[in-house]
Amino acid sequence: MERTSVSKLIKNGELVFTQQDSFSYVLDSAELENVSSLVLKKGARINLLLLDDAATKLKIVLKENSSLDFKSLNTFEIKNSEKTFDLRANTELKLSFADFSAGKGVEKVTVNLLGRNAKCNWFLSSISTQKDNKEFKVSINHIAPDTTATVDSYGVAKDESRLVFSGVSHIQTNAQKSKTKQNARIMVFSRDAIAVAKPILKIDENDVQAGHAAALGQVNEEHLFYLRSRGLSENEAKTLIIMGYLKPILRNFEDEEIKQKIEKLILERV
Amino acid sequence: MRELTIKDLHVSTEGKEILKGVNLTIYQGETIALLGPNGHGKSTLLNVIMGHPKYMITSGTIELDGQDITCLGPDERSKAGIFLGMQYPAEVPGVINADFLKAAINVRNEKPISLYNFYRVVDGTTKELGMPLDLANRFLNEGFSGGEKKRNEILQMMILKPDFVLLDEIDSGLDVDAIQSVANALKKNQTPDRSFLIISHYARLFDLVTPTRSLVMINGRIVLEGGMELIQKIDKSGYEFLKLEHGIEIEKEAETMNQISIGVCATRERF
Repeated sequence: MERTSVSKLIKNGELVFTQQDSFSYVLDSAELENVSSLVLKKGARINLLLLDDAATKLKIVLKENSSLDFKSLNTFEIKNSEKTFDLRANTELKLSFADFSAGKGVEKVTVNLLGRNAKCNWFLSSISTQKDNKEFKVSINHIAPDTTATVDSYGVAKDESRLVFSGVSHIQTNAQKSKTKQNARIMVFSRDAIAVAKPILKIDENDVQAGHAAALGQVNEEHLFYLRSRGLSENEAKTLIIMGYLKPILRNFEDEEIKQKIEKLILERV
Repeated sequence: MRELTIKDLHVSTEGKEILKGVNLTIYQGETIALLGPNGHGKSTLLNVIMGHPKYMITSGTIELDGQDITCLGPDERSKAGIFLGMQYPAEVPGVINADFLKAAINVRNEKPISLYNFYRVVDGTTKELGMPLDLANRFLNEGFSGGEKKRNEILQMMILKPDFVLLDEIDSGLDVDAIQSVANALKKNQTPDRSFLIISHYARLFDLVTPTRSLVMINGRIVLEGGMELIQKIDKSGYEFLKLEHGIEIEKEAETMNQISIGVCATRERF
């Protein structure tokens, strides 16, 4: 996996991408240590992979007609963090978070759809184990009309951990013809694990489409029986089921090495 | 000579007794037709033999080759040679058919099967059953038609080669051609070391597969045994004759009110 350095693009704590910059970057926490904001200038199309994201506060701005495919793979300690994305007109933001972090923390992500036709898709696969206590607060604000957002969060809570998916999708007045969807699903694996889903919709405009769904529960007994009836042990069956549940996020990561790393991580945690 | 014996089995679920003293021995090499109206325990019997956790055995035993298997999990029963072709095969999201089949095969062998041999076996069997060749890469039963799900059950049976095959309405949802290809596969697999216990409501399947005996299950018990003539009689005139000729009353299920749910956004569910 080749890495192009971004140090040349950083000035005064601001990392700026323009249309001329190459397409893909892999960043780790060291490179973002002094960066507090990321700017995509007009027309920039950037693919960013953040490994072990330690950024505690980051503001990302997408100027008109730019697009950002932001992927994050977290395997170390979770930290309280706040990321705000400001999207101008005709921008597209794809957020894929593969979370295998440990510990206690709240990751807050806020997306402001400020310009017409701005679009955002959020995808999260998260596992909490042992005594983890993790919350993902994903809020979307539809401020301009014709904006679209989807939030899909999938989680697995094991042992005595606590996993919370929360956030508000707010369609403000004058954001007509906006569409917003929230989907929070957490599978619970033990009696002591806690899963909380709070997908909240706030609608202040009439001509819009909005929906939310939450599903929390244990592994489907019928699925477990089906796999076991073919000879798979309870553990093997549960592993296959969890893998199947969390693997879809792999589709969002193109790099083969990363895909394999994520798959291995899922297997380890399970 | 292998033998699966059910002795005076009483089974309950959700507080209700479904099997009320089932006695049955399946001998090696037999093909048994299990008949009876819906709701009288046929499906339950097959699921209990396989070890479905939602059924509780209140008394009686299930013995395989003289050993009580009621404490064994479904996986151990599968490894011991029992297979259940389900009435409603589960659609397990995200689990790829190939991964699942490979795991099921490897559980039974000392060495994991090579990729080459795996695809040789799967593709060969898939073709034989007239199923789409990309089957291996699709998600387990997801997006399969009813008929495809049933044929996927037969596919698994052919790959795992069990000694006791339990089939729960394997022909429901299949068109004429599909029934023929399933019946052909079953016939090919009706070997002296393999036994079948087949539930079906259609004489057609039994015309093709020829059972060695037929059993009728009423009110959670096996009440009658016979040959092909029993199947033909039921096919022609239903179960009324049981009362007239044998004095067996068929208990009707009490109708329960369906609970209506006015849509909710959040559910506590089994995924």
